[in-house]
Amino acid sequence: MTHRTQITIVADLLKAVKEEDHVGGARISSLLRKANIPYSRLVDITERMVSNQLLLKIPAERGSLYKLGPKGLEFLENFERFERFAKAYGLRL
Amino acid sequence: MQGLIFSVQLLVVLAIALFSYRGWRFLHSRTLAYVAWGFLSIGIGIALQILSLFLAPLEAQTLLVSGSTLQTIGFFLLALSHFYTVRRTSVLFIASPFLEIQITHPFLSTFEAVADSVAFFLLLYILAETIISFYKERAKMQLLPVVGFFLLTVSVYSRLFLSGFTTGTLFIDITSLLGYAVLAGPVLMFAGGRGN
Repeated sequence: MTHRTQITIVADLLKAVKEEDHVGGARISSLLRKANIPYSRLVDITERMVSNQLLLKIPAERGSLYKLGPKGLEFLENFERFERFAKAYGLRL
Repeated sequence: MQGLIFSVQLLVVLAIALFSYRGWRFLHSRTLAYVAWGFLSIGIGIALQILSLFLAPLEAQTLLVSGSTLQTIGFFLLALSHFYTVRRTSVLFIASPFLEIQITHPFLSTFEAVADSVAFFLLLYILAETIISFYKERAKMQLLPVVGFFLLTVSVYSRLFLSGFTTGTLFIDITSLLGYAVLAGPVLMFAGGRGN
């Protein structure tokens, strides 16, 4: 298990949301499974990501669905670019 | 000729520093901060070497020593980025072989030689980490830093013994230039948003 920084957790959440984009969005339970962080922390982080327009929160029949916001996609592209750059040098972000 | 080689080295190193700096500002990643400041320090060191070409021998020597020291600090920061990534307990590992070479090679008495010998062991550490990482990940892209850091290690090692000879100096400068050029490979790949 490697130590993850806040920014890496945000990127992991965005990747998880992107994976479920084709089914209309990701549920918080699905993000909880993939993000591997406590529920209260996940709720706190996703709320901040919604307010920063990284994620879009869409009301659904049961709970809410999360989709990538316009800033989220841009952030994820840049993150993956620098992640690959660091990885090329044998480094982790 | 030497000025041209140093100038290209400077451009390549600054390109890596700039890209890493952008990554650091964007992601607040400590690893990329070490890489950015490391390459910037190496870049300033190379710039001082360029300036020394235009000065009288004594002043030039002072600049060369400062340049070598800054490059060593740069390598230390690069080693720190690997240290931060991989493990958190091996700083003393770097220090002990350095002390050993100072004792066993009496002719390495100048400050510049001290800086170079430290740089050599730092580069060995970085090279070992990149090789380990390459074997773990098996990513072709990671061959570039392996080759790049190997060339830089050869260059610094040669500088410890050959810096007094004209052909030796040319070999050192060209090896160093090739090392930095290979290290800039990932920047060229990812700066344009490619490299998938």
